[in-house]
Amino acid sequence: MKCKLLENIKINEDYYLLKFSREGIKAEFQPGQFVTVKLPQQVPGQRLGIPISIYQADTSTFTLFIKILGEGTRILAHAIQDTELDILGPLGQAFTLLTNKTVLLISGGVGYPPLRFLKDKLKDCQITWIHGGKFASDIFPCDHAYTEDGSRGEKGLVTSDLRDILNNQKFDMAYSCGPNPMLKAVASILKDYDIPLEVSLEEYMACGIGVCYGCAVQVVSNDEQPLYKRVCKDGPVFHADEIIWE
Amino acid sequence: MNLKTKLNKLVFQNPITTASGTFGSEMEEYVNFNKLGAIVTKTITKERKAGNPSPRLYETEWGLLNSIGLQNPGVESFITETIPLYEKYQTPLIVSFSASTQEEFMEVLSRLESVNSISGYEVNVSCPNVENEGLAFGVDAQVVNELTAKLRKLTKKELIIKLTPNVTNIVDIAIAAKEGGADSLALINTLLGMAIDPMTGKSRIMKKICGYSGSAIKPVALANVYRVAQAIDIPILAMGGAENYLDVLEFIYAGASMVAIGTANFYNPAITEKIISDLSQHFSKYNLTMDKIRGKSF
Ligand SMILES: Cc1cc2nc3c(=O)[nH]c(=O)nc-3n(C[C@H](O)[C@H](O)[C@H](O)COP(=O)(O)OP(=O)(O)OC[C@H]3O[C@@H](n4cnc5c(N)ncnc54)[C@H](O)[C@@H]3O)c2cc1C
Ligand SMILES: Cc1cc2nc3c(=O)[nH]c(=O)nc-3n(C[C@H](O)[C@H](O)[C@H](O)COP(=O)(O)O)c2cc1C
Ligand code: FES
Repeated sequence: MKCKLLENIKINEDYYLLKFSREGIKAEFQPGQFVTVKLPQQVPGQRLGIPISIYQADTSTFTLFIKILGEGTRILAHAIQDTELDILGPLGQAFTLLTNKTVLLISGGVGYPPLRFLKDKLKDCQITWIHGGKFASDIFPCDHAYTEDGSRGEKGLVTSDLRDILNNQKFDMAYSCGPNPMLKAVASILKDYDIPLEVSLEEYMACGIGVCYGCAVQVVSNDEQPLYKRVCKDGPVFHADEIIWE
Repeated sequence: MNLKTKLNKLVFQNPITTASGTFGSEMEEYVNFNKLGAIVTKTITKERKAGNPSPRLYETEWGLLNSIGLQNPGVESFITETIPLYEKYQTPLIVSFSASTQEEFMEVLSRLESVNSISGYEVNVSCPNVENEGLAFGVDAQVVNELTAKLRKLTKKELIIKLTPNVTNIVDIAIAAKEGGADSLALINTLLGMAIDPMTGKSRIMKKICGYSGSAIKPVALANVYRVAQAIDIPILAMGGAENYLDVLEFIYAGASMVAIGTANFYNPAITEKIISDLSQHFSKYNLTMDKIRGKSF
């Protein structure tokens, strides 16, 4: 589907917000789902669509929140207004939506966008959001921020005070997105407190629609052979208990 | 326009099919399956196969590295869960399968023979043969010949042997398959490839050496198809980097009766339908038929 870029907003040197027209896309966008975006011109080594979470959506538009990591995201982030980009989606399984609960959101770096969309869709929930990043430029609106260099919020990792937070408040549910080592640490702490956790995972993708089995993540099984699920089709959202963390 | 073509026993409305492992029922949303010449399914094995650890994919300049490791649910689940998803279409269904011993190849084929909606088989001989020091079945002409002959006895349906390009002389293997009783040949499976992060030295793919596909391998695929077509008289299902109707024409001129689209499905899931429509326009415009151009490269 060709989607027109309506607006490109620079947040800082590394992060950009891209707002698209969703004309022609009938499916509803749900938090945790993603799209794949093809670059506006053919670039060697960057011909596959780039998977990006949905950051916001309404009846006529959807917005992506992009961090420049390599060549692909750099070109995307600099796409100019009115460009038509080839987009597939919305794809994948969404977060479970709750009403009237106490909820903890935990994100790291570019794990921020899917939780932002989730926050908008959690009805009548009491939400605490903790977010961490390397530098001040990786920090976005939240309740408690952490940076590795201490340049913004608390100095440390997003998990630094997690036990204190959990000792002080009861949560019905938690959601997390960020780098794998962070998710692994979060999952292990929340397990101690018996709080259900949904995580959104990232894996290298080719098709994005469940065909190629390239985006495998190992899940718990009672078979002696390992069991792999597809991040693009069976996820990207999984129950943390299901995942075998490397 | 008349895009009709055939392999040995099967007739197809057009020469475009899907390369095993790059297409599945998930594509229904993007492609009208009834428009395809045939559908080739992802390779299955007797028992469930877990596949390889991640990362399994890496995109190179003009190709793709993959190390899926034949992840599949096994033949029983394939018959009960997957086959019914295709039964609502008229398009001929070609089932790809593999195994690690000759006996197991025969068991899988016997099991598949009970399914009426299967039109033919593509035998994937690119996997390790545990009876022959783990060398791929497809690298040994004698083994290919024996295996083909054993499978031939079990089915009257179209029996396609899919060849690996990772051999000294693909023509020897092609002859062995033909003499074993193959109806047709599919070529090529992926080349061997690898990519390394130059900053750290870490392999991009967990299993390190893996399968290389996509437009980068098209010249290699064309050369293999051309050589086999020149050497022996047997229908060829060609694949390897075909992304558009012009690539398909090249393969037909080289000697292919059918062309499968693989990696290109990942750039655009609707690509097969577009190729068929472009090819049809081209055939109309130049008043072509398959017979007029197949193998006519000069
Ligand atoms: C489900 C999902 C949701 C995501 N959501 C966001 C988001 O909201 N915002 C955001 O900025 N980024 C998001 N990403 C990450 C984004 O896809 C990568 O940053 C991007 O692919 C990097 O491409 P590049 O060319 O810039 O970098 P490269 O230099 O090519 O690679 C940098 C890193 O990205 C990974 N990567 C490269 N290509 C792919 C691919 N085809 N599929 C998956 N990973 C790849 C590589 O493993 C590498 O670690 C998401 C990824 C997934 C899987
Ligand atoms: C992700 C992926 C999975 C594949 N899986 C299979 C498979 O299960 N069985 C098989 O015979 N070939 C498999 N192949 C090889 C393709 O069918 C094809 O022979 C090869 O990719 C060359 O064609 P292409 O360049 O158009 O992709 C796979 C290729 C890719 C890229
Ligand atoms: S990217 Fe192909 S199955 Fe997930």
